Amino acid sequence: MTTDHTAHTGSARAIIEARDLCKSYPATDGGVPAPVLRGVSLRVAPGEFVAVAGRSGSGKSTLLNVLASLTLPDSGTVLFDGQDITRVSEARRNRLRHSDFAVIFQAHHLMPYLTALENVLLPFMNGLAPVPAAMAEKGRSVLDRVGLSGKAGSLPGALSGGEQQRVAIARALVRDARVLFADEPTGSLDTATGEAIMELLAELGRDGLTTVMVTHNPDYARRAHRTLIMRDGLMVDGLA
Amino acid sequence: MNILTIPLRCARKKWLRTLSLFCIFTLGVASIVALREVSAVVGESLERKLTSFGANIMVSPARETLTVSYGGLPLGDLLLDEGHLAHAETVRRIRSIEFSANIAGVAPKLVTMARIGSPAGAATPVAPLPVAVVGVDWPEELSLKGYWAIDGATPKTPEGTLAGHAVAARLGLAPGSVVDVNGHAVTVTGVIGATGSDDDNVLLADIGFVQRAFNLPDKASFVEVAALCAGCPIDDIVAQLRAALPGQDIKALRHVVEQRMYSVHFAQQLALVVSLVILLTACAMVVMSMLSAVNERRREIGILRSVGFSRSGVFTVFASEALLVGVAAGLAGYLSGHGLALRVLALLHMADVAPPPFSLAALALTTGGIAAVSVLAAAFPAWKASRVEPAAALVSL
Repeated sequence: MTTDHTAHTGSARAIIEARDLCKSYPATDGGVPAPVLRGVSLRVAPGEFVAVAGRSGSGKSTLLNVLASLTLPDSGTVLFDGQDITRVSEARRNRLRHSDFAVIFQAHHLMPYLTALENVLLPFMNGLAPVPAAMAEKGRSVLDRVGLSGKAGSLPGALSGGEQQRVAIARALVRDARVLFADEPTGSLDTATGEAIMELLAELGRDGLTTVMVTHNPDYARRAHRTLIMRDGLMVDGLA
Repeated sequence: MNILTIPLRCARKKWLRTLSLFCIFTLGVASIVALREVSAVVGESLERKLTSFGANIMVSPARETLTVSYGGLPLGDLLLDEGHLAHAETVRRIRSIEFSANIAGVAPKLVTMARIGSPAGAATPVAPLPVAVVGVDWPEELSLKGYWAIDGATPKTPEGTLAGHAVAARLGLAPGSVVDVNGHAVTVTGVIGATGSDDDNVLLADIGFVQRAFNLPDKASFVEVAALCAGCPIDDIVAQLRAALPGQDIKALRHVVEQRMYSVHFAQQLALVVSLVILLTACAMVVMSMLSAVNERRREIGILRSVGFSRSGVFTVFASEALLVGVAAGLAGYLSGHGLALRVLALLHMADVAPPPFSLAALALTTGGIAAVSVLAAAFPAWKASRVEPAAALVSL
């Protein structure tokens, strides 16, 4: 059984389009692999803010990982700008993760021994060439934009959960990523901090950044242009 | 800021782990450097000590013999040229070869014959007998005959002699006896204990005295050379001697060379084996430490991969950490190992051999070698890290 939630974007060209995605994880006891995605399709238009909601274990995070090219599906395709990115080279997938996609996680995922600014500039440290001064300056400006102007030299351990998440968002912004994938970005934050982060994401959405956000919080899901509901590896509902 | 910032910061943040890895590797490198330097010096010292058990190269005049027979009856060999070497020039040329540093001893001999009778006052005088009187250079000769057990003392004047055990017994010689050698009164200063060699049957005297007494100025019958073969093959030394002494007969006493080199090489190979065990142990520690780091830092690997780091980039991060430790341990290990070697050699009283010099080239070679070994040791863990799928690394937390 497959479900198609591509119709919500009408005839607009999709920046991300998934078709019949299936993904299973090996059973820990060596038994039959457990299916996590069972034929999921969706389309995301440029500048759209899409929320994917559902209970724990419904396959939301796996879908996000597949869309963000952090893992490959067992079958199905993911088109980015019309190109099937499940069949491109490893180098191309690296470039996608470096330049076009940005991911923020519930657990922030910052390098613990790099400063806030270095974490923001991490994507540009993948080589022996020093990070250009202009890029470092841009890193400082995006930290300013997320409200961390005075924290550039701080290590993640010295930052609050909300501040760490802002650093992760700044890391996405500094690359001018075209699609932001957010996996429960407020999951580990208190309500006030979560609200602030959601406001920041909404602001980015208003600025035209395509965003796919996984959340189980209906209030946050309602801030998106569209909410897709997943259950047991299937896309069961979508709200315009 | 570049990719090296990551391992540098990580090393600083995880300083205890870095320090322990550095200490283990430094200890290993220091042990290897100290063992190598000590074994080299001990090997050289051992070989020098072995030279006191005789020479390993013989230099003698080229001689030709003619087999004489008549009517099918062999009449023996006829020595056509009894020839002598020019004493001073031969010794000078031997000392001036390119590998002269490997020449530990040059002992010229002048072999003559004289009729020697019992000394005055002998208990049972015997009629004069033909006895070989061999002229030697005492300091050189004694350096090659460390095994002699002398009853008495070595001669302090040209008119002194050491008597071989058999000739002393035959003529009734004892320390203090005076014998006539070709018209010269010579005092026996000591008697050599039985050696089972030709030395038992001769009188040994200063070569200058023998040259004067037998009117053979600046002559030598042959020259024994003790060469140190640890640094170069005996064949090279022989070739250089042949070039320096054209027309002379130069032979390597191979069995002597091989026996000595076996002893020297055994000591050095033992040190090499121990060094390899230490190196492998240190490498195993690096592998274990890096494997542990890869497992501990899966989240970091996931983060790096999620922001576009290639597999080679992740490999570089982990390999650089090992390289960092390897370079630091190589530098510290060589310096501490060299210091340790000097200390150990001082305790061993190896005064006969120069201590190993501090060498910038050896420092660079050691550091480079250890850096390469540490990267190799970390290669598998780093490769393993680079294979981690981003989502798997991030989800596994």
